[in-house]
Amino acid sequence: MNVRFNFRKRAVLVLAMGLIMLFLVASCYRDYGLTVQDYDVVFTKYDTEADFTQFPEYAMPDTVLHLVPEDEEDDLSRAFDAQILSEVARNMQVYGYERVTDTTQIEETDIIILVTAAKSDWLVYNYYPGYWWGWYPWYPGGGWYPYYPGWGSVSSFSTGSIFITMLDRERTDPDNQVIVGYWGAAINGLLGDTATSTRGRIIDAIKQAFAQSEYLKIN
Amino acid sequence: MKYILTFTFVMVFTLSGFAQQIFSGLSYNMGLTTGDTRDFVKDYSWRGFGFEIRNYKGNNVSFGASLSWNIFDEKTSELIRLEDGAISGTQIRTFNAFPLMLNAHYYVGNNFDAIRPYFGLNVGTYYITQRLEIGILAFEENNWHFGLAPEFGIVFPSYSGSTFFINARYNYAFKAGKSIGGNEGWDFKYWGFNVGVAFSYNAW
Repeated sequence: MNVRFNFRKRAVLVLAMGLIMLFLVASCYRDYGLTVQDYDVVFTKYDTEADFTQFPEYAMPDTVLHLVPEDEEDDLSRAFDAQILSEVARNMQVYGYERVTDTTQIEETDIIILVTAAKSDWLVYNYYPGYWWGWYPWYPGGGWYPYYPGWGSVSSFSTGSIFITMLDRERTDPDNQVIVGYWGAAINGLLGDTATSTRGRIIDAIKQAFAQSEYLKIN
Repeated sequence: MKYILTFTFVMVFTLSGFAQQIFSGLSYNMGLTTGDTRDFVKDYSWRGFGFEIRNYKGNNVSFGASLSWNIFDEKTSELIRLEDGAISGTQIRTFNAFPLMLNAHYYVGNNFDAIRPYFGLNVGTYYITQRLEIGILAFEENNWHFGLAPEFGIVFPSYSGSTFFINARYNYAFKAGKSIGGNEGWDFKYWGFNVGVAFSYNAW
């Protein structure tokens, strides 16, 4: 009888230890110490049927278009626009494309590189649910612990995106919302970093967009 | 993790019994992914624990059950190739594996007080979560898998009645559900390396 009692007692304690270990393991996920740069993402997509050697010349507007709803303005900085366009042009040149800047000859190019930017604001609500501590039979006198109410926090952040799109000039018809693209890159990252850091991150991301799109190379 | 180890060993050692018919214990579990599973997470897992109970039938055979948790995760910047493009960026890739198994073991030798190698087979289910965080986005797939885990190990009885054990299990969760990449019927394979302590008793 005594042995049975000991077994039950031990079994309960082992189960309790197991639950505590479960909690400890759950709380020891690795902290990777992510920085702002770690949230930068570059996504590229292309038309697998496209023969890029057929498009050695391209035109590119000398402005970065900001995507905002009609009659609205955004607060996305234009401080980096010139460098963005310059870096895109430089990478296109490295891959063997020639930029046509003479406006009278733009109609003769096959493709247009369009660079656009957008800002998104995110609101995140973190909620930590309440918890019943439950019945503790070994607690002196026993009894219920009170219900611990849930609590939450609200945080917000903004992301900036740059889209580089290679469009078929002839077949794209904005008036009828027909867009034919051969290649596109979407670059997304957190805003709010220093200007120097942001500039560096943008340049690196544009380089990466081309680096992971070797099929664009025609020279 | 060192606190978990210390806690486990101190507590289970304290709880150790003196007889030898039921064996129950806790283990610190490590792991290493293999095969296709390794394409997603390569890092050695130092996070995990298990609980198991075995009921001896005679001197050489036991039947029991085990419940474990292994966490596999890594930070990587590996380029993700798609059919018509690619995605790059820092990624946190995570697998959580929860094997819930029934098992049978055979122990070499007849002496309970001696160090004995053993081998066995675990059969049961795995609940596996696969998670990919990239940028501000996170993708997750959770699936139940049927699976097997052949096992070999050694038990080390101590003077106090506690039993230390080490074992290796090859966990093979059969194809089920789909992966984050959209692959239908993906399987999950990993080696589990476990170190634990148990107490044994003849309570019934």
